[in-house]
Amino acid sequence: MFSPGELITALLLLSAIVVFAAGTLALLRLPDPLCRLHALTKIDNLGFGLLAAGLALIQPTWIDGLKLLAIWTLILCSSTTNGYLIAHHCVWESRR
Amino acid sequence: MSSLLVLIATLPLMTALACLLHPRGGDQLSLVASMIQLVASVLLVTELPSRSSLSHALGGWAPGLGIALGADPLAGWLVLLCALVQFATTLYARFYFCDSQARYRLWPLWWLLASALYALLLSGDLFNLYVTLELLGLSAAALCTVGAAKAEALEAALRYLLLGLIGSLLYLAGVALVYAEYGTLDVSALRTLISSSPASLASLVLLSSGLMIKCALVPLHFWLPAAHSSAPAPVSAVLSALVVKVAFYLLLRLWFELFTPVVTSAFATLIGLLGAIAVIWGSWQAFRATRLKLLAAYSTLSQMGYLFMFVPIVMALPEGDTRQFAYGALLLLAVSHGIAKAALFMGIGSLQQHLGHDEIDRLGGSARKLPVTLFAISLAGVALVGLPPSGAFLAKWALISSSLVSGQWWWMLVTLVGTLLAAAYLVRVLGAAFAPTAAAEPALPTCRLALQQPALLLAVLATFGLGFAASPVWDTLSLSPPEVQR
Amino acid sequence: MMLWWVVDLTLCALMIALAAGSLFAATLRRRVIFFIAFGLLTAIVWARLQAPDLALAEAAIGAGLTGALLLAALPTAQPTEHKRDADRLIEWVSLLLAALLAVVLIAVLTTLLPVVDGDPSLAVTARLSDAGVSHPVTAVLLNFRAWDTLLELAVLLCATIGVLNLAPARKAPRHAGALADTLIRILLPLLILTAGYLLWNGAFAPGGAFQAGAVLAAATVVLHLGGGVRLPPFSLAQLRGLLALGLLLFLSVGLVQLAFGQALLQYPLAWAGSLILLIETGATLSIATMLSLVYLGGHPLRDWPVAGDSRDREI
Repeated sequence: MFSPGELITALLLLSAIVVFAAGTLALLRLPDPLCRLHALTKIDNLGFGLLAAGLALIQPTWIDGLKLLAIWTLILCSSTTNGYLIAHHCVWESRR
Repeated sequence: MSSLLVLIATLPLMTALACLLHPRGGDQLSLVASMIQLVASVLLVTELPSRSSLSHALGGWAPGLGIALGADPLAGWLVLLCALVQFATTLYARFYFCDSQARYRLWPLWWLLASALYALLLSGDLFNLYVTLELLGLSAAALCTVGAAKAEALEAALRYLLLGLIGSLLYLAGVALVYAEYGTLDVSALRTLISSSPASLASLVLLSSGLMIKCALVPLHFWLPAAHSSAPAPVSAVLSALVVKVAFYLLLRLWFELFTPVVTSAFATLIGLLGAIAVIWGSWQAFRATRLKLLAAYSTLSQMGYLFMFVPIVMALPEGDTRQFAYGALLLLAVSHGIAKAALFMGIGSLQQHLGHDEIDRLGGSARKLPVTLFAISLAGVALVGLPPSGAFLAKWALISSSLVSGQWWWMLVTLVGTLLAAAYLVRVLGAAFAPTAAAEPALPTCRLALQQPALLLAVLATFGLGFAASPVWDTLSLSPPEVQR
Repeated sequence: MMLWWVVDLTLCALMIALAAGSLFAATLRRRVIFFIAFGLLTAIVWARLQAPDLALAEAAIGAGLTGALLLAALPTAQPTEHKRDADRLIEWVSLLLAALLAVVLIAVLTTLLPVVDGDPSLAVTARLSDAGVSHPVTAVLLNFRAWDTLLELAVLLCATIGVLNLAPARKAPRHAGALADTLIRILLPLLILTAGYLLWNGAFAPGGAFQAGAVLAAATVVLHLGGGVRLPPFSLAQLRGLLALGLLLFLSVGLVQLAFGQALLQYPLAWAGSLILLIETGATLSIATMLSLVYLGGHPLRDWPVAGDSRDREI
């Protein structure tokens, strides 16, 4: 019924959904900004990674899959920097 | 011939860019451009063969797919009004800002406003009209802030901007409905298409209310007094004389040409009623105003009220010559107010530059110092009140007789009260100005002595020019609305 | 089929929720953030309605630049502590009017189905082969209704001059740190590349001058917020030139056609594609300059538009 590739995609997407759901819950429930930031960056890194990998497998051409992975790399860079900047700001605010 | 349309539509844009690129040449560039524009619009009006119209399909595409520029006699006369007022106010602005850096900031915006005015008057496409309205609102609001550092001027300009945006959005919603129902935005095609339906009625209400905000019809008027009175005088002159007038022009097109099957007499009466309230309320506020510019701004409110009040009178007349005659009178009144109000604002600006304030109670002795300006203000007042021999007198007379013909005598009472109040507030100003002086006032800087001439030019035109030369205006204007082929 | 219903209903519900949030949230900052989220969601809605051009523009300008502008304006906004009764009254009246408008519009829209298409000989698709570009949106914006776009450029120019007239630029925020600088060094070339791609793509796929200009302006925003990496300085004359460039090219191309006996803005068919690309390139640069200057709040020099001396600083 499903090809092995599609099965792997389904598995990857489902785990992405789990990561996103857990991350969102954490974002809502965790007590302070730094912890919440931790959840947020997990969503960005792991969640988007699983999503991109899953979708890359079912693209018609390999170049489209590569584009998705390139997008994920960009998200990694920006999410890292954003996390650092927000954390920096939080520390700066608390010291004032 | 149609290259004349292109010239009139693009010259202001070119001038705006030139003034932006070369700020120090702005004075000369503006003067030359406004002269060319004046000559071009005189040519346009004289060459427009009556009972027909000009058009220019932009990009060579048929209207409907593309956009057409077009002019009929009605648009032609309003283009001439704009060019005339623009010429006088450009001269005036040059002297008004002669020793200030503000004029470098003024000219690009000034010509963007002009581009919006001409593009609006020549446009034959409902969506293109929205774009011109947007440009008009933005440039007008931006102009209000030129040379004004006061917080209340900024606040007034911001409110003007926001209300202008709301008006544009309402207009856009109306345009969307029209497009959804009839599948075209071309005005000349819509003229035969529009029929009475719920969507047409809704779009008429949306389009009208959007434009009525821009015309400052009561109860949507509250932004006007602050915005028009806090702007620098040359800007106030253009705002009061032209910007509200072109929105009214668009309303006339909608009511008398496009939406004729939808506009009912009840709708017209409602508009007239709002206009009547504006006449009384505006005149009364003008009478009570303590500052000259505020007085002039409220006077604009009441004068716009007259224009709306006369709409049901014209509509009630049977189709034909009598109706066209009354329609012509309405337009004559609009043109006459445009010229006179520009003259009044320029005169007030000169007084303000001379005295350092514009409080009516402290005007004493100014008539001795600035006789030319006071003469201009009095002449503009004659045209605003509607005394003979001004064009406004002829127009009001014709419209009141029409109201009696169609049995709507009550409008006459409002006109009478409004006229008396207008006379009262102008006499109040003149009385204060001719009173003997209390203290020695500083003299006007020499570069500003020439300030007084443009106001006089327009005031003479409004009172004598339009009065004695009313008949050609009347003839061509009256012929304009029916059988326009673009 | 069913699945798309679920997606659409979720989008509608989210839009209403975010709109309510941006109107009624407790603090101004929260409202702004809700509004940015609203802009992003609007972009998704446009994409769902199969208007990718609008989605791109909305994401770049509606959510991105407007959001950055609003956030930058926040510290200067006065908090309104207690509302006057008049303000409350105005709020209620405008809410009531908006609700009335919504009801009337919905009622009228039900009478309109199906939407009329108008004269088929005037349809865009019928004349697309004469337009010089194969993407219908670009054909309408730059050829069939080029006059609208030209005036829209004038609108943008007008807004920019209005802003420049009012204020000297806001101060740059403090340096965000070395990590941010690295990100900016990665992002900047990518943003410029993306802008060029969007500009080139406009001829046959969603994209074009407005989107490309917005992306370039986003590069300015990123640079400004980073506070570390700086652009080479622009003089006032260069800035004025960049501002005028798009409109000037557009008008000149249009007017040159008159000399050959054609209508204003009528491109010869063989040249249409290249002329449109030329106009769009100029427009992209101008739009990027305009949006950047609006975001920065003006040129760093006080005496716009004429420099009193030559102390040009960098932006």
